[in-house]
Amino acid sequence: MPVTPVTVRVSLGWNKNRMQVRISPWSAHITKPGQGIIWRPTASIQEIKISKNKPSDRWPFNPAPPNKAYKGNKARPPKGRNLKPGTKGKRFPYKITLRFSDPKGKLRRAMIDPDMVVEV
Amino acid sequence: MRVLVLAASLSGLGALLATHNAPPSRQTRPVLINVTCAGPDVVNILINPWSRDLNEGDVVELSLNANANTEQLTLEPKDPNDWLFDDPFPYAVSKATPKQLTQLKGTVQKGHAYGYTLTATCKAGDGPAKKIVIDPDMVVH
Repeated sequence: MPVTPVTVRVSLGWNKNRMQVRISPWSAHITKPGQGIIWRPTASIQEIKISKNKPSDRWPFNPAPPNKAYKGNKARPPKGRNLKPGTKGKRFPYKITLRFSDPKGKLRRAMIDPDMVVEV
Repeated sequence: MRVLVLAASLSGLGALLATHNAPPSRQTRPVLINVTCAGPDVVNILINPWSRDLNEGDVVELSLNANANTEQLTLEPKDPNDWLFDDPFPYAVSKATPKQLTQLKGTVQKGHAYGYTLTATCKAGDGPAKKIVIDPDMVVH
């Protein structure tokens, strides 16, 4: 039976000139063997991309980014699957890149750096 | 008498020409930035304004709000070859030290949006440090 993936909700909202980004949870904990992660953006995010901070960084899933599995939107959320062995107890910082429109319709980009922790 | 009238006329004409040829007044245009960690999973970014409108000769003052959850910001052009100031970058802005950009290039393209990246690390209390990079812009009219 497949293990339910950890959901990371990614939202972006505006109040005049104030932009709010929420990554929940900021630290995604993988607590079951074989568990993956699914990043669910709100509709205000036109594109979401998950990547390593540096190309040489370790990654807990197979495949690792860059890969089409890590790029998407609300309708097609990115996913990390196939937890690699030897990742237990390790923390994996990563980068989320968002493309979105500001209140005036101008296309903008934001990058933010949460992390994942493999506990099993 | 005629000489006096002529002199007065020329003086008036000179003043009129001076008024028409005067460069636009140089103004300081603020960009106020605030970065706060509103909770364990949230970062708020205020940039006022996101798109800074300028006139030729204006100075831009970048400042960081006193209640920000970061001590310093770094700003730099998205494309170093497509930037409107001669002031050397990157620009560091702290709560105590706003940064003024004073050397507007003579070759700026009017109406073109000059994008820059703003990098900040937000940290409140024992919470994790949250780095965020965003891309506001400036436009000369």
